[in-house]
Amino acid sequence: MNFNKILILLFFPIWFFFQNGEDSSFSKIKKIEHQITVGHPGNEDNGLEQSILVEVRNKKGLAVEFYMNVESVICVKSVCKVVPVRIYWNNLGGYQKYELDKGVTLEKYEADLFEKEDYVKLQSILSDLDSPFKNVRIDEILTVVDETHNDADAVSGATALELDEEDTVPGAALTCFTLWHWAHGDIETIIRNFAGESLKKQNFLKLLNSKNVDKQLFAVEQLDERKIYKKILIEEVIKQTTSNNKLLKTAVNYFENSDSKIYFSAIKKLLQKGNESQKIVSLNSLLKSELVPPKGYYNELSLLISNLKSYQEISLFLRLMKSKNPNSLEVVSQLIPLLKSDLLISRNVYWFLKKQQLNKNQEQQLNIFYKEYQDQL
Amino acid sequence: MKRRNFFKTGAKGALAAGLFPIMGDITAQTSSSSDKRLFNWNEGVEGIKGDPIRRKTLNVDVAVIGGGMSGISAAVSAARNGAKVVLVQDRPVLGGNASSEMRVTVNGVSSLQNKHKVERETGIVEELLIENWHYNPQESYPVWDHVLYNYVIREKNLTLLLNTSALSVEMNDDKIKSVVCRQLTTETDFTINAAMFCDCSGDGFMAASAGAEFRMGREGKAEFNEKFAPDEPDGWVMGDCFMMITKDMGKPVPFYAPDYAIPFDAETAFKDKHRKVKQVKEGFWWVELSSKVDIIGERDEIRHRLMAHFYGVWDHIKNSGDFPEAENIALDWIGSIPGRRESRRFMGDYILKEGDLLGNTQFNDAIAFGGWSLDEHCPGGIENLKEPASYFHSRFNEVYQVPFRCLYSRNISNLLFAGRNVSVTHMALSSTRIIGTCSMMGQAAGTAAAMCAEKGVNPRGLYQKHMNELQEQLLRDDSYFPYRPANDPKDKAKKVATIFASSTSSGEAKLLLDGVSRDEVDKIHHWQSEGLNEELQLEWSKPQNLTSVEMKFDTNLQRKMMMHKDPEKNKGQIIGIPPELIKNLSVEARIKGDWVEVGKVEYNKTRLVKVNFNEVKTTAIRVKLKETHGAESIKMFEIRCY
Repeated sequence: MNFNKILILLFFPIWFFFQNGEDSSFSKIKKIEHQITVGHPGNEDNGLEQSILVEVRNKKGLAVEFYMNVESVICVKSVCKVVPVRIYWNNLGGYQKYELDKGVTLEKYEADLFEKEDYVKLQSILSDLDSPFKNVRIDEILTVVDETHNDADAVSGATALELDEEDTVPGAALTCFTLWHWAHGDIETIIRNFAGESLKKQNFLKLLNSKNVDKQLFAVEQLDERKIYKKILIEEVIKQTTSNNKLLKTAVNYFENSDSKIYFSAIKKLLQKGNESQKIVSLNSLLKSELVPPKGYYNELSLLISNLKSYQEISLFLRLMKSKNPNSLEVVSQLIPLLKSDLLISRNVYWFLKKQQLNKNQEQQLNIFYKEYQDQL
Repeated sequence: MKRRNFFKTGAKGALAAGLFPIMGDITAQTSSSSDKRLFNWNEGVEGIKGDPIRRKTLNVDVAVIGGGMSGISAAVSAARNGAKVVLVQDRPVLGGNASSEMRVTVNGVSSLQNKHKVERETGIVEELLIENWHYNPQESYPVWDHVLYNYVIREKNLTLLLNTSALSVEMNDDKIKSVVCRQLTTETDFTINAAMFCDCSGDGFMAASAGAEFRMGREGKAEFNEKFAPDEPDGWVMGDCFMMITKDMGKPVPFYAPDYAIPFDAETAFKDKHRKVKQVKEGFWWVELSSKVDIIGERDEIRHRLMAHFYGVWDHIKNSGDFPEAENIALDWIGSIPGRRESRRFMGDYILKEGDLLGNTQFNDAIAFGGWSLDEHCPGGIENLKEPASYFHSRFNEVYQVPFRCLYSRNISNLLFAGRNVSVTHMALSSTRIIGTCSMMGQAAGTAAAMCAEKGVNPRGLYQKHMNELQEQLLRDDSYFPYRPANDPKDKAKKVATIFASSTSSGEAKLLLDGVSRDEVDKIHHWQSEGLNEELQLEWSKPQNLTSVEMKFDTNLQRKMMMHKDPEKNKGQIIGIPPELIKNLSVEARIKGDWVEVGKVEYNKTRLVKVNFNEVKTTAIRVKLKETHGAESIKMFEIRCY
């Protein structure tokens, strides 16, 4: 969680019951108002603004939706028409829709009003996580688009914003920019953390089992955020991670933030059950870890050597043994058979074994390898 | 410190810093220190009376005339490729149009009509721009001059002659045998004998003196089927231009125009949407003057009239009352030498034309790329207010190629050129003239000149027999031309059994071997780690003898990097070394099973990092990528082993 970027100020959450169902399909829903501080790249120096984020919880107490009222345009020179827009997110911080009050309209350049299709296109732009507005700066939008030099000897319209028509509402780039960054900025993390607070064990299990990667990532991230390490949840995280590499980084991060018992156990399971990528990430994690493992842990890991197939896995394993478990008889005996593996692996094993204490038979096998491959060492 | 002592230790310091060695075998250009005779005018001092000119001879492989950005790129690349080089610059500072004397922005490819928009040039010009932000975040132009100076003089094969102009050439049939150059500050004539000559001077006095074919003016539509060219050919060229820098005095300041100022016809001028006063910080590109007869011969007259127009415009801004934003603004600097856009274009074996740029003709001898719009300034400049200040004929969907055959003379066999004087039509020049593009051409011309000298061939012979080798060397040295991946047979990284990284967040490690050292539109060519302190490992089946590992890292080529006269134009840029760039790294070789550090780089400032070391026999290389200049992960585009 990047708290450097995000400032959340929660002042006196206001709980109240909402009875008429106008804004939600739930008959009895609960709303919580969070006063938050959030930045927008359109403000000078990514200036922070205070705003009210409303969390909607269903009758089971789970966050199901969030919304916030924002201004349609960040207007530097106060000459734009600014109207309130309500933006809705789901409980994962994903943008859902926008709404305007009855009779309110959005405006384009030179006071043209949005047409019906412009509203549809705006929804499409705001739904696009990779919209060009993601990387556009407000000064590019505010630059007057005319075919002119941008420098003493410069190009036509070099700093003027150029967007394909399909990517913007012509004449309303500033509105698109403003709303896109409200919809997709730091607010997403803020929402996820609020939504995470309402989750209980069963909710986590359901999310982890959902087969939906976004929900699974949200669950692991929130388990980490809230430091929840219940056995059943850990098991589920491992199970889901071994079948989906997309969870790997977040899951290993979650385990790295736990205590040593949980961490080493979880990593071992990933090494037992995981695929190549998962083993590589696990071995790298062990290499960098400063936690103290249970006694005999690395010797036990050497029993998993047959699970390691690729050169990179073996290479990492050897580095791990060299730095954390040198001169282990168990490790040596597990490695000897690998002298008959493919050249890249066997050569690496050979060099490792050269520095270990070996018995006579093992020495002999090493010599045989040397004689056969001395030109390739 | 006493003055005497200062000079003692100061001289040592200068020697240690390599100041004197740059003069190579010409350090004795002034009188011998053992000669204690007093120089008395007309008193019979032998060798002084009558002909005061000193004479020296320099024998080099490559002579580069012109120390602008193209000439710097040519000279440095020739020297780096093993040639003994002399760089002759007629001004006291390096940089040409980009120097503090003229202050033209080092623009590059931008405003492309594709997702990238900006496609920054790599190689020498990028090294210079990064180095400038390191030494000169204050954006001082005089400091920039010395950044260029430092960059040039530290090249061990390169001799720099400042304040030195080409005077004459001696020919041997169709070859230049030597060029005589006069250094005004030392009253010394240098006869420079070289195998190869590069004219990067813009106006091209040396090349013209040698009899190299050139054109000046505009081709008509028909000759090259150029739709934006005038119907009939004429002598007009794009004009010269003055820059300025102002300062805000914090209170109203008057301006009094000089006597020779020409009143500005603002009413007519401002009818053109391009002739606008959008800022009062850095001058106006449309205050320019050109010629349809002989812009070189008229240059001093043009300078005067241009100054007169400039002050007329500034008088209007300050005193018409129409620009209240200029009330507190005062001129702080104004050029005395106009920046130059166009004069001679020397003819090569190929003339690049408008259609090649618009149609992106694919050349088997591509050596650079361009992509600035077809930005043809109007004939006459500010004295022709009936036409738009510039015709922005067209922008480009993708970068175009510049072929090598545009960089050497069709009739002088050992003459190359780079910059605005290359073999292009007037229309093509309206795009290729931009400094970033010219610098890439300079790097190509210098590299080619060094190869020609080394192989004993002329540039045409190089094109015919060694073009692949030239392209490979340029790509190795971090040039780029689209649709031409590198495939250097000497690169042993191509033969690895496996390459892998400690982590991957984007791309993949094997893409570092695909020969393309930047991401192209919708085509990834990079590997990016998850974080810092990462590793990249290459493993061969059989032992390799290696002496260097060369890598190309990320500097964000889609972000502009140039210095501006108006700081407002730095928006979106990074004032400093690109945060994405690798800062510290080390290279290890596995020798007899042990990882041994063979080289390291600390506080790296270049995209291309070459780590050279004593030859090792190894089966694996591991690069430890420690930290960047700010980014939280490491991104790179290429790794090579030699």
